[in-house]
Amino acid sequence: MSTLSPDPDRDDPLLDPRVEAELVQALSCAVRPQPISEARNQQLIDRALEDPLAEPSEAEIVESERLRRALEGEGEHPALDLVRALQSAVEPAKDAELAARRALAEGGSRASSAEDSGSRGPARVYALFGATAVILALAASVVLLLVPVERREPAASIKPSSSKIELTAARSTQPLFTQKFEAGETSARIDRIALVRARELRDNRYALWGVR
Amino acid sequence: MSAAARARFCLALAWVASSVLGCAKASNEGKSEPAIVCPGQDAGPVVDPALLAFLSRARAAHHVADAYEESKDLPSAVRTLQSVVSGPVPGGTARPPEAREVLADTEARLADLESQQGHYSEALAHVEQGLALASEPSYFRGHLFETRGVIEERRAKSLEGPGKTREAQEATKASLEAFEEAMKIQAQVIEQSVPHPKQ
Repeated sequence: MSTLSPDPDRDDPLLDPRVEAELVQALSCAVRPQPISEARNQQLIDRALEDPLAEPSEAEIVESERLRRALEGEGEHPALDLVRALQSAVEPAKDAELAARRALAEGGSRASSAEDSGSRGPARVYALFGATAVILALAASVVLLLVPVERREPAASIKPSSSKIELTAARSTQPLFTQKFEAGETSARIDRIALVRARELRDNRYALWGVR
Repeated sequence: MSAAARARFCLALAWVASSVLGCAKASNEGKSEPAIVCPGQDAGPVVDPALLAFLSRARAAHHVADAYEESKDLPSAVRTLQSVVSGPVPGGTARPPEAREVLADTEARLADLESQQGHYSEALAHVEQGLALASEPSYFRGHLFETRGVIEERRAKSLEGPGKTREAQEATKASLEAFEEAMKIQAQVIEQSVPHPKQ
């Protein structure tokens, strides 16, 4: 059964009024967008045109590291749920692996807290857990040793994993036009040139980010 | 040492050894940066934010000039477009082809606007500047020659009258030559775009 199929017998809780109001506003904006001010428009343009090759900022480095740790089960991050949802959509098998890792981490902390509180769990369970952890770590290390791995990049810099990054070069716009130019059509021509090159700039950014 | 303790010790030792070796291997691998290539093109600049900023600026300027032209305010249209050709252009001395072609098209439009106001010398100067930018056979170059033909036509018409017959005839001749050159260039562009059958 698909986890996305709604269960007709299930009573879903009502939305919080504040959340509902936000959702209604978001939907209204999507259906009936309002014009934005020139200053805001320019801000958006500047943000869209920011240099993809620029060095990451301190804030970006810190946030990337936080997200990386949260993905490994250490701490929380506001984007964690979204990233996990995206991961599940792309690689559902990893869900089981992540759940197993979390269970191991929780099992380990439960075992140590039980020991600290003075209650003794069965020695066999403790030994079994320890042996399992050692075997898993050994297997991971063997895989690390035998299988070529990608270089572990700093959290903030996202580099493509392939050995070549193909970027679109600047070149003549002649191929965009199939007929001689008519008077009074200069604006239309430049519109077309700008539109096509904007798409190519976006593709170049995605290529540098390793996203295709 | 009991058998179980010995087994645990051997496992732990093997784990530590493989971790150290594995980490050393991982740190050595991937030291080379991925190469950036532009397939199928000369090794020149890529489409980057500076080029897009220039194209956006030129696009906006032409739309503003459209509005001025519609309201018959040709001097303002000329001033707006002049800011594009005399403003910042990406690439410095090695301007990307898109920038050169957009500048050439802007020069053609400036030439047309100036000639509409009777400023024929300024108009022809803009055509020359445009031709220097669009030096290869292309619709951009052909359009500049057409524009020159139109300018000479207007100049010939303005010279009609007693005592200026010879100058009017020279302008008409220059106009025809410009149109013929434009047709030659357009034909070249069409021929280059048609794939030739393999022999």
